[in-house]
Amino acid sequence: MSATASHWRARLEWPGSAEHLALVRIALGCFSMTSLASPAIPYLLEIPAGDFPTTLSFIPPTAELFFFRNMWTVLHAGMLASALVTLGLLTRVALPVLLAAYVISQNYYYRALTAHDDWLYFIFPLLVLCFARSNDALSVDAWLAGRRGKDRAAPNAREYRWPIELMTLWIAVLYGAAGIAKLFPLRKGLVWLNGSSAQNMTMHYLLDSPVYFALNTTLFDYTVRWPFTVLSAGAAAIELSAVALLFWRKAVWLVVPLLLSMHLGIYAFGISGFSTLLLVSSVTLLDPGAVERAFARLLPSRAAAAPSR
Amino acid sequence: MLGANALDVTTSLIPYWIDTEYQPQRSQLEWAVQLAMLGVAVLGLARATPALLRFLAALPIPRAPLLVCGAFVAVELAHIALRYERYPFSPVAMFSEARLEAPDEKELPALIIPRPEGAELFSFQREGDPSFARYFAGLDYKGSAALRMYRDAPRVHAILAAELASHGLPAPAHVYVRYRTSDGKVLGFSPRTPAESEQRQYGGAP
Repeated sequence: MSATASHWRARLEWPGSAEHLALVRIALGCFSMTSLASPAIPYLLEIPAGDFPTTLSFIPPTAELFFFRNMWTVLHAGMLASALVTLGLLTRVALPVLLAAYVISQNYYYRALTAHDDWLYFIFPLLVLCFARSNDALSVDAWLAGRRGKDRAAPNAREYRWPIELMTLWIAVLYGAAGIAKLFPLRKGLVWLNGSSAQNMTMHYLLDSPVYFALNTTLFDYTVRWPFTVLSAGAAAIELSAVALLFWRKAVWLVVPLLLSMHLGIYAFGISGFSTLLLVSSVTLLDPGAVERAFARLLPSRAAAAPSR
Repeated sequence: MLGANALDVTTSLIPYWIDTEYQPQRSQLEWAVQLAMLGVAVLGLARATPALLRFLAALPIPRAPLLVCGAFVAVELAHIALRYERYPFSPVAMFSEARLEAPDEKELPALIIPRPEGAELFSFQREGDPSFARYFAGLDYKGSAALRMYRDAPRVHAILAAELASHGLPAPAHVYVRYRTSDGKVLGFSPRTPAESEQRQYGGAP
């Protein structure tokens, strides 16, 4: 096996943190709530929006039609489940319900808009959480168990690690894929790298961009190609750099700021939303040991009561 | 080299709808060489498969999540390799299409608010950004994307007209906006009926 695979496998043996996994659960619960509470789907239902013929889904058409007719039930069930997941109450039941509601509702959003959005980032982490011990800390479940005298802590802290590493793998796959999609097929990639695609996109969204809202003009002359050539090469390199998360844990300090700066740049040119998605995902990339130490400092009494792992 | 060749071939196999402007063509000789190299890569992968399976089976992850999450990742990797999107799997290819033209002027469908002092360009994207919103409160970027995409739907017109009316403004007009791409200077508006728009059809269930 390659050094990358060996390193990633070794990391699965490292101790995880119940608090870190709980933070990921809370972040995903809160974000899912905002996503499900977005006015986007109610608007699409009101319009009513149909499917783009270019989009495809693994959800069968009959099921899509059924869910379309019952979308409000799906949204309400999802919002309730996301609140429960955030609180860590009935977590083992709430997580699959949230996952199902999220997958169904975002399927409709995707089919009506063709947009990659938060679903790309969060379906997999929610799937992982369905199998993980994410309610052993910072949850009502853990508090109730404590009142009953039961200790919810896993016998081995490694059990908190694999979900984090799988989610890290997902972030690397996602951004690595975005880099690959820019560069392959290779001849298309060469055209893309010359900057004309980024230039075209920037021109297309010009009047809808924060730069234009703020300045009522552009940052520079958008008909000049070379800045877009530099930005395109930089964007592909930054996206591919996310793969480093798999073989170098500290790469997070380099990769996340680079990705964030890329998303903020893209936002300035008119494509919004992705900075938030990255920041929510980044909770996964925190150092579990550091999270545990931070909670030990914040809640010393809790740390003293916790069994040594 | 073999990996890059394999990706070059597999991402070319299925036409992707975003790749409208530029689709690279290969000669038969190129195909033959690339497929031969792909064959070598597939053989190498086949030889490595038992070791890969042993590696996966030995991962310290409980069996059920290993199978379910592993299958999900494997299917996603296949979609990336094939540059093929089928929800919830994606090659993450948004904005990866090659564009050739960078025109000096552009004309796009838009909405304007006819004010006495002159037309004001209305932007749903602006309304979805709390830092810049003028009329809508509580509209997020996803909501604004939905309204922007369907800006010509009668229901969206009604929603916008009601919102503007609450600010004492008239209903929006559907126009084409022509602007200079070097600096975003608006050059003019021309009238447009929603039916002329580039928007897809709406109405009815999926």
